Amino acid sequence: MENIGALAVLLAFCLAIYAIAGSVAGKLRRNLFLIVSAERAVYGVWFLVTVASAILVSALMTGDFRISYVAQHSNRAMPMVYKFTAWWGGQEGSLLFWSWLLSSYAAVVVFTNRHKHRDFMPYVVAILSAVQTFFLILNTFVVSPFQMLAVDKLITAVPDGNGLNPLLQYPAMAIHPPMLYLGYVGFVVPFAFAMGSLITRQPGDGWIHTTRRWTMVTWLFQSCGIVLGAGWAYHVLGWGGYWAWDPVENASLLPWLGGTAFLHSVMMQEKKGMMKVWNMVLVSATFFLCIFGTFLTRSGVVSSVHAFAQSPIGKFFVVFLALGIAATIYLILDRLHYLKSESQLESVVSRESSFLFNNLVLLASCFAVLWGTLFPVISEAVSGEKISLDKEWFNQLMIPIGLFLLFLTGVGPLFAWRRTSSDSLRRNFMWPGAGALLLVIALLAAGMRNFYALISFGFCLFVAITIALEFYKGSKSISAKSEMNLARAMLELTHRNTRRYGGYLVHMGIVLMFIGFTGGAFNITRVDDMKTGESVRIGSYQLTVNAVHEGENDNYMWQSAAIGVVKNGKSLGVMEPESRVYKASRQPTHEVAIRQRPNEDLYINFAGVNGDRATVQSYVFPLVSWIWIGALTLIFGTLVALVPSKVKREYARTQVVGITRKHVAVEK
Amino acid sequence: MWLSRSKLSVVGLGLLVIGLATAQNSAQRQSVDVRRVGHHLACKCGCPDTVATCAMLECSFSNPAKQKIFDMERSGVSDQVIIDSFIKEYGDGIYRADPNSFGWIIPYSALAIGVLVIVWFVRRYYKPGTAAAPEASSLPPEALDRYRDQIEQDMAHLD
Amino acid sequence: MIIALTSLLAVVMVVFVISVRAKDLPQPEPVSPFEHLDERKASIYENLRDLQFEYRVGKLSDQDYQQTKLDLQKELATVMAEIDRVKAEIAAGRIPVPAPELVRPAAVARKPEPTKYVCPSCKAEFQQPLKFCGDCGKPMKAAKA
Repeated sequence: MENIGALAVLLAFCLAIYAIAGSVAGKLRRNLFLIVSAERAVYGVWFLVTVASAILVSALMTGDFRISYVAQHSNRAMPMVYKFTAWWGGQEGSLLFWSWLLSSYAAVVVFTNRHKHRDFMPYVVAILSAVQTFFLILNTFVVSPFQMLAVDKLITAVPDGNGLNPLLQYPAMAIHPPMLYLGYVGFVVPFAFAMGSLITRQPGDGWIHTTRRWTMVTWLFQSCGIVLGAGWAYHVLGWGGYWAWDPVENASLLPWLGGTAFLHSVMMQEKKGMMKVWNMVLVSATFFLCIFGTFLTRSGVVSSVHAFAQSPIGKFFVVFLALGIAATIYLILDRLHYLKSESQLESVVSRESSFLFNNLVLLASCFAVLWGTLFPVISEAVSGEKISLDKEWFNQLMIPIGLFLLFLTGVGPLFAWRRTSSDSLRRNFMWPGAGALLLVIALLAAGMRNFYALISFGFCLFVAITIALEFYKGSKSISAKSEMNLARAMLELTHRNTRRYGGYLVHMGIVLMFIGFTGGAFNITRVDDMKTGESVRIGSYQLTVNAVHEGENDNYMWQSAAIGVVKNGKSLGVMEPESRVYKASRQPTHEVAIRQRPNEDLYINFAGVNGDRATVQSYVFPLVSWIWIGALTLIFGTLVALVPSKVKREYARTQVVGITRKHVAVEK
Repeated sequence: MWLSRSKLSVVGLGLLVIGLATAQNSAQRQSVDVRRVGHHLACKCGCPDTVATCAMLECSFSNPAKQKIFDMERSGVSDQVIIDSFIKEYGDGIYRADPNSFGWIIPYSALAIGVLVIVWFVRRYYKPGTAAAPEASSLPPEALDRYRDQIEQDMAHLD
Repeated sequence: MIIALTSLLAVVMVVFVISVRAKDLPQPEPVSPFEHLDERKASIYENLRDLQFEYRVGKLSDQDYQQTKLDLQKELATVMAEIDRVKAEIAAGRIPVPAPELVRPAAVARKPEPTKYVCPSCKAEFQQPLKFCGDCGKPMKAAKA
């Protein structure tokens, strides 16, 4: 079977090349047959990659340990779910998974646009297929997942595999990589449409309307992926953090920041026909950051806890990135005149300016993260000295930028498009500003002295009030006009312009997340070696080790500590953190015990037994739950924004003989 | 996480000002001193961190290394000598320099350049008072009036 | 066995990709020369509506509202003037009547255009005869296009 898999990937590679050549030639020579045939090739590629993936997955499920990928990433004792997720658990498989997602996206794009955008679809197909070809080159010639284990040219099997890294045998981790990949891969679609539109010099911004949903869905996947990763780190890794500025984490943050900037600046183009060049640059930058992120994760350029092993694929990525970036820059420069702005700025104090700053800060943070990630490599190349950049360095760099961004989140909606007089500003700033100021004074009075925390809480309230006022004012106007109660009016308001009010909900999610981040300023940590019956105090909690248990099963050996928790004289029950050693990989893991409450988490990690003492790490993390609540709000807001608006206003088109469509539908 | 740094600097300041031992309990001082040296030594457990920041619990490298640093400090050895002894044992690759100002300058200068770009953009496209599109100024007023009637009509029709 | 399967896979794929018949070709929608102008117009109307809404909820001062409204109207007038200009060009034959950019091969016969009914006052077109125009509401004698 594995031969069929390998051949399917090879065939897919040939078809992808055919799709590039066919669609470009068909477009240039105006041959519709060739163009349609190239589109068929895209479906063909999807089918072939699906076949190859199915073969790999079934080999993983049935435990065909002759295939080296299967032997390395699964074993007999693993639960079925994780045998399936081993598809993306290692280098070769995950690249095949990438290819499969890309081909699925491409097939969906070709299918949904089979009657639309005929004049630039051939280029969209060509670009999608070019990216596909690159990944199929890797799948076929560089890191084939169908490599067999062999001794002296004789294929052999090992009795049992190494198994998936036990840290990854966790539900959130099963869906975290697919989410991230869906996000990574998805950005190729807006990019392909943008380039197709640029190559054929389309008037108007059809590519933006067509890919708006794609971009939002992709962004949603990326956000989910990042948050799942953070949640996994918090719940599984046992050091109590959710973000460590690890290169791989940064790699996922980079395209997210770029995509966020794009989602905002694209509004400038839709509303006013400005910043067309910039949007092209942003959508390309985001796409290349996705590829770059994949490169960072896989090439071993920057060492990281969860990077895949060193491998030769780095140079392929470098070549692909260099060619792609060069081609994109050439295209944009060559067609600058076509990207001319249609409008001017009427006033410096306007929504337009706030968008400019939003873009600046998002990109600056993107650059700062990129810089920090590559800095060890750069500084070693320049001065020969390796430099330590840890979380604290990143935090120092990023906190001011992050706070400024939070501030802009609140300020943006207060400015009106085109111009905002000081009168309007005063009107809009008064309540949020006063509320934030009061909060900061109250916190100071309550004895909080942490500068960043004060600023952050102040801004959080500022933004929250702004958003609440937007909803309140809008729904009040509707309820006055159409006589419904405020709650229904609010639903009505949101439904009328889902994109705007969904966007505000996303902002609210960000605010909640910032509350959670700020809580990190008040973390309490302690590590103790405790005898049975001994107790320690952390925050307002009293922890007592009641007993230590141990045991084993097929997959791992475990030890757990029963720790009684008392708060203010009231017993809160027993928490049982556990530490495990997996047999197949001999790797230790920790099942932490967490008591999650909105105000703070009590987080206990049992590090193991040291002589007759249990080593217990205990933490109190104030407000950390708000990060997850904020993330849920963000997801909800994005989903709201994806719902089509209730009012689809139709404007009469200019009549032309032979054109059947009579209206321009404007969807908010 | 933010606090750990600010706490650290507060603690560091305390050390300088008060003159050590009396104010600090021994465990805290230990960890501050060990971390200061540990920051200059890469952790060899496979993580990207330093001995001071490696977050792994039973780290096979950073834990013994911390103990070694602590023991050497207690016997009065200077930081540089401790670092040198690690370099001698594990090779040059283990040394990690402090983040230099270069690391800070570049991101913030990128921010500054971004501000300049915005200033350029605003200057280029700022046309106060005039109608937005460049052609608009060339539109004769009577044509504008003609269209305005239609616009008003359309707007009324839409609402 | 495996050789047979692999060759089968290859052959099926190649046939699927190559065998595009004339009836599989998509019927591309002709693109109006006013496409992007119409879109621009619609988006300015939307901006005007948004502006009114923001004004009504009290986010804008009177002065801002009036000024911005004037700007938007001017912009709209510019777009409308451009539409009229293109119309005149088409009437004068300087711009070809829109046709799908990619011409289908001659072998494929075009379907005859369905009969159109045109309103004498506003020139809107309909597929079926109507007593009153669906667009402007004026009485309309069934006239063929």
